[in-house]
Amino acid sequence: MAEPASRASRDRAGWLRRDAERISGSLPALLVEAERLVASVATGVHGRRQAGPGETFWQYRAAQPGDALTQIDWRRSARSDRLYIREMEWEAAETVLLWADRARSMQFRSETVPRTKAERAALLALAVAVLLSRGGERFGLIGTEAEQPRTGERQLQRMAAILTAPPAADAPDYGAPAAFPLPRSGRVIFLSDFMGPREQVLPALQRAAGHGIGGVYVQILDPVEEEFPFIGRTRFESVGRGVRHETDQAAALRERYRHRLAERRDELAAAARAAGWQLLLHRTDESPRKALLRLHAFLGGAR
Amino acid sequence: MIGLGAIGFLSPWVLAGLAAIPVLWWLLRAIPPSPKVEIFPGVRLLLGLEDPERQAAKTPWWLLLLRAVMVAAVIVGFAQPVLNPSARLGQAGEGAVLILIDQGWASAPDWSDRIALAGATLDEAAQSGRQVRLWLAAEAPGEVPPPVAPAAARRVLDGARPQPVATAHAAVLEALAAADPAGVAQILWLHDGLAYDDATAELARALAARAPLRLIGPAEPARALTPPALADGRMVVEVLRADREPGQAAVVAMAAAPDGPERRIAIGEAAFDAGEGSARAAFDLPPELIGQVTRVVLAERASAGGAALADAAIRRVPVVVIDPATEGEVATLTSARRYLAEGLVPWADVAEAPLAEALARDPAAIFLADQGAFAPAEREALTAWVEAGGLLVRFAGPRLAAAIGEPVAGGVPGEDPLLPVALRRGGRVLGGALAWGAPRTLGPFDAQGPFRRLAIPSEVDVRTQVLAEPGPDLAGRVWATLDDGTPLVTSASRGEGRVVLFHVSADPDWSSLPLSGLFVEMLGRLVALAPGQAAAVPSTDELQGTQWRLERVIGPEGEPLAAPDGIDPVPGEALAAGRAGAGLPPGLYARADAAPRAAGAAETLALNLHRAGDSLAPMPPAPGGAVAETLGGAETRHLAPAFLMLAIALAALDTLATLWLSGRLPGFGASARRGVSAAALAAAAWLAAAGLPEGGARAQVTGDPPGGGSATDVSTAAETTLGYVVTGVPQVDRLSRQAMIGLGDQLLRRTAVEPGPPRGLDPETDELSLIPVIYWPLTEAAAPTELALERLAHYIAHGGMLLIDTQNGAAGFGATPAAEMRQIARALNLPPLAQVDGDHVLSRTFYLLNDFPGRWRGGRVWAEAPRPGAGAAGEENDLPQFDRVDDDVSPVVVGSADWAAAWAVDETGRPVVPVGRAGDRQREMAYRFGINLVMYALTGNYKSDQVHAPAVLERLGQ
Repeated sequence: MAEPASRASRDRAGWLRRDAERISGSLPALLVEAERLVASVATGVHGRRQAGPGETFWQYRAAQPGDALTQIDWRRSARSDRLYIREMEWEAAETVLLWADRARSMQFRSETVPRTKAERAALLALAVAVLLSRGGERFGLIGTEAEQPRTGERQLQRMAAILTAPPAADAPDYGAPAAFPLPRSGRVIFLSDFMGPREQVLPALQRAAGHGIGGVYVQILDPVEEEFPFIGRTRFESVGRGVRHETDQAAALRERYRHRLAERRDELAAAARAAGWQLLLHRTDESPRKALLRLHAFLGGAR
Repeated sequence: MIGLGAIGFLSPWVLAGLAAIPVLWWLLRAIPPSPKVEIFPGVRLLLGLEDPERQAAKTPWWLLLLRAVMVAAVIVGFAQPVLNPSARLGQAGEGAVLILIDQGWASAPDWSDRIALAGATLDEAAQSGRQVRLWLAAEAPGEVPPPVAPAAARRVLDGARPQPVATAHAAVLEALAAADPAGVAQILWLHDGLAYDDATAELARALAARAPLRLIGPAEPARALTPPALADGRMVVEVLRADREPGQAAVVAMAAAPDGPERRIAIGEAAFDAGEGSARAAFDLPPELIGQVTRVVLAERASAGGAALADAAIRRVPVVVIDPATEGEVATLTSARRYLAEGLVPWADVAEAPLAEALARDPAAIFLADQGAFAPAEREALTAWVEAGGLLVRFAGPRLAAAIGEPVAGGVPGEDPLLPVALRRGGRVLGGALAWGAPRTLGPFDAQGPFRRLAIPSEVDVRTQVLAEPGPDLAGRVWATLDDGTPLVTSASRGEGRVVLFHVSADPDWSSLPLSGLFVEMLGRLVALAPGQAAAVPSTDELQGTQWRLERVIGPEGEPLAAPDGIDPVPGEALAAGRAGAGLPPGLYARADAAPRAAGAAETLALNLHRAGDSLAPMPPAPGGAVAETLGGAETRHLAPAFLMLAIALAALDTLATLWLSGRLPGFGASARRGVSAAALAAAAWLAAAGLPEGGARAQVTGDPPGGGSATDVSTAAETTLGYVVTGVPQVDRLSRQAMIGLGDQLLRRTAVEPGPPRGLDPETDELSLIPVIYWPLTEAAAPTELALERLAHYIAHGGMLLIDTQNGAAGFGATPAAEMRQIARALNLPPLAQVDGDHVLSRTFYLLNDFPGRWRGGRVWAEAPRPGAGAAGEENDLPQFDRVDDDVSPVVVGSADWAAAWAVDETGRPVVPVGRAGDRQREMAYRFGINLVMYALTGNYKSDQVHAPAVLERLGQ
């Protein structure tokens, strides 16, 4: 019995990978532009517009006392009376940590939507990972064995395997970003519905922001969760059946539910803004490309 | 059985269950419908939200009501309700029930109702085990029947048919008094609504005195017909009735040609006035058709009394033709006698006799050709006959003309009672050898006379005639004239009878009228006028000693049936009354004896139930203690199926309502709400439109109040404002607004321009002149209206600048329908456009630009073409191209790069749309283009001298 299950798992990994490659295929190689320049140990393929260790020519400068003799570019120096040093552009890799919520509340989709929120989160995470991998950036998946930031196809495969694994049986009703070893620099992407208690959602943000790490919250919601189309006498239950609420007139709750949802978003947005983070809103009935474009802009586009 | 008015219940004890409904009500209120379970991750946000009204936890009142009605319907249904229960016997009473049913002709129209009611009563009697005396009363009711079991009475009832006779209430009364039946507990009398003398009222009293009496009669008593008769040339039938309300009746006339089948030929209408017991239905039929009429029958509610056989009253009348000229001779083919006899054959029984014998035959009419002076005795006899009702038709001729002016013995001079008008001595000859005038043709007939509507042949001409003496009463006596108005046929009444004079002869000597078909028709019309005619029934003398056998009898529906076999002939004396009666069923009787017939004696006789002058009387009011009911109407119906069906339907409705309440009716709740809200919106919009004063609407349309602008206009004028055209497409408009904000930020940051909040403009209504530059996303989804184009054209013609952006990238205008673009360009009155190259002032106003990317690269930008000759005077020829436009600013800049997408920023200042593959560089260039554009719009050609910079620098360097 294990064999069909693993084959199904491989198939799921296959489509997830295929979808991820498809939506990321039309983008340029991701050039992550670090917002703050922090010393980084790893040399990546990413120019810092600054002289430093790298392979790309940056500039010639006149040799100054203290420069090593081996640094002198003799071909250039021969064309004039002065000595020149050939400097390379400083290239460094960005570290991006991803967190895709795997709680039960993410295993939800309404009838009109093809994918659950968890699937959408996994897709976006992997798509970002594919882009990062092409750019030579390092990335990791928080809370899993792929947490250690790495780059390359292996890391991508590992992430895909984790993201396509069936959800754990003891998954909580609502997820919160787990504590993770903070990198010295880089960015964090949280993919979740952020429907959990606020006291669980916000501390992780504050902790990361306290370390000067930039990040983005991507709130992935089902259209039903935004529109609240229910009417009549209804008992609402969370996916894990842990939380219940019963009402006689669901329609009468609609405005107040939306109000609370807007409040939650404002709260998230305010906290994010305070920490220099961003909040992206995404609905599972929207194209994932849109969210990926925003993430791309966040990682590389916006200066 | 328990009755509630018109509804009774067979199982009334079930109704006790109705008492349980309040309990059910309470239970249903206490138990709300079970909720539906929804998996919903957002439930955490719902925690703590209270329902607005706790009342909704209970079942809504209307659902409760629905269910209560449903249960009530079930309970009532199982109680077996019966509509109009035939509870005519009641609970009490053990003795026999006497059911007296009138079986006469008047019961025929609603006979089935009578049978049904009597049958229901028999059933009821059978249920309560009572015996029944079923008494069918027609003309000979016989003795009071003995009490029998209802089943036996049922067989008698089923075989009973209404009889074509009058119900003999007097005989019933006698029989009742004679038998004095004992043990009659109740009496039902299904009477026919008519009263027959005083016997009816007496019978009612007698029955009421014997036992509790219920009188059940028809809502409308039957009507009767009299035999058709002739009046004024028409066939008339009297319709008799017992009620006195205004009303209508239709009578059908049936006719049969000799040896042909009977068919309906006409329908006559009779209108009853209030209070009148009879009305006359007239049939305007040709005489030959009247002669074929066999019977008349009521179109509705026919019965034996409502039908009448045609008798001798409308049969061919006996007429006598008298021609003194050929008296005693054999009539020649050209004699007047022959023309008259042949012309009358279709209409009447014609006899030829001298005047002396003619009166002895008692004819209906006498046709007298060319009679001159009468012998005194003849004149006296003839005058008496006419005044007694005869019709005398005279024709002119030489003898008559010769006799004009002779004194009449014993009469007024000049006034001949046997002529309708006084005649002038000397006739009139037209068209003869010695006459001036041509023969005359016929003029139109008197529209009210007997010849009305006869076709006038044009070939008939009149050569000779006798002339009437003019007089004041002449015009009223003329029935036919020549085309010059001289009388051709005149008539006058004499006593009961009438005298008619043809002013021409009956032979073709004086005119060709006798040769035409019209002559025959005119004779027919005259015959129809003949009064009295033959007596419908021969005199008693004639009937003496004769035998008559019933050949055809009128059936209960008024249809003629073959008489049953074995009926003995009746003696003629019995027929003398002329009406059907006891022992004489209505019908056709044929003479059955071998006695010698008198001349003209009738061979058949028709006897009807009614004769002219009869009347019908309504049933007298019920005597005290008796209950009067109306027959027919509601019949007994079991309502249990209807109630149970109602309960099932309510249950289905309840299911739907419950589903709807709990939101489990897919697609219905939301769409219904949407429909309601849409309808509300539409209503609100309509109200707003209707409520808007017309002046206000006009002011809005023109949007240009002379006194001053709106507050928005004031703020627009106070600051430099970037505008954009609102297309109505939400995405486009939102992006335009964000683009103007983004461009404004950049302007604020980099230049001296400090724009205010951007303004969306509806070119149809908003004031455009305050905006220096307007961005116009010209997408296919939002085609501008004509008014908008007109106002935009006015705007750019007066110094405004439009940035038209088709937003479709490199495809540019190639992708827009050329005709449409050309149309817009023409409407905007655009100048000729040329592509903006690197020398255009637009590329120099702030930044030095080579291309103008937006979201898309590579698109071309167009502006007003350089005007030929402008600025060229006094300048060197090698000056760049842009210098030639230094006098003006292009009113439009047209492109397709979708600048709005590149400029747009959200509330946090972040770009909304990713632009280009090269990151921010393209967006930066887009902003630079925008800044250049605004500078170009604001500073005009000020920067065009930048073009001199290279030359100036060069000179400085030298």
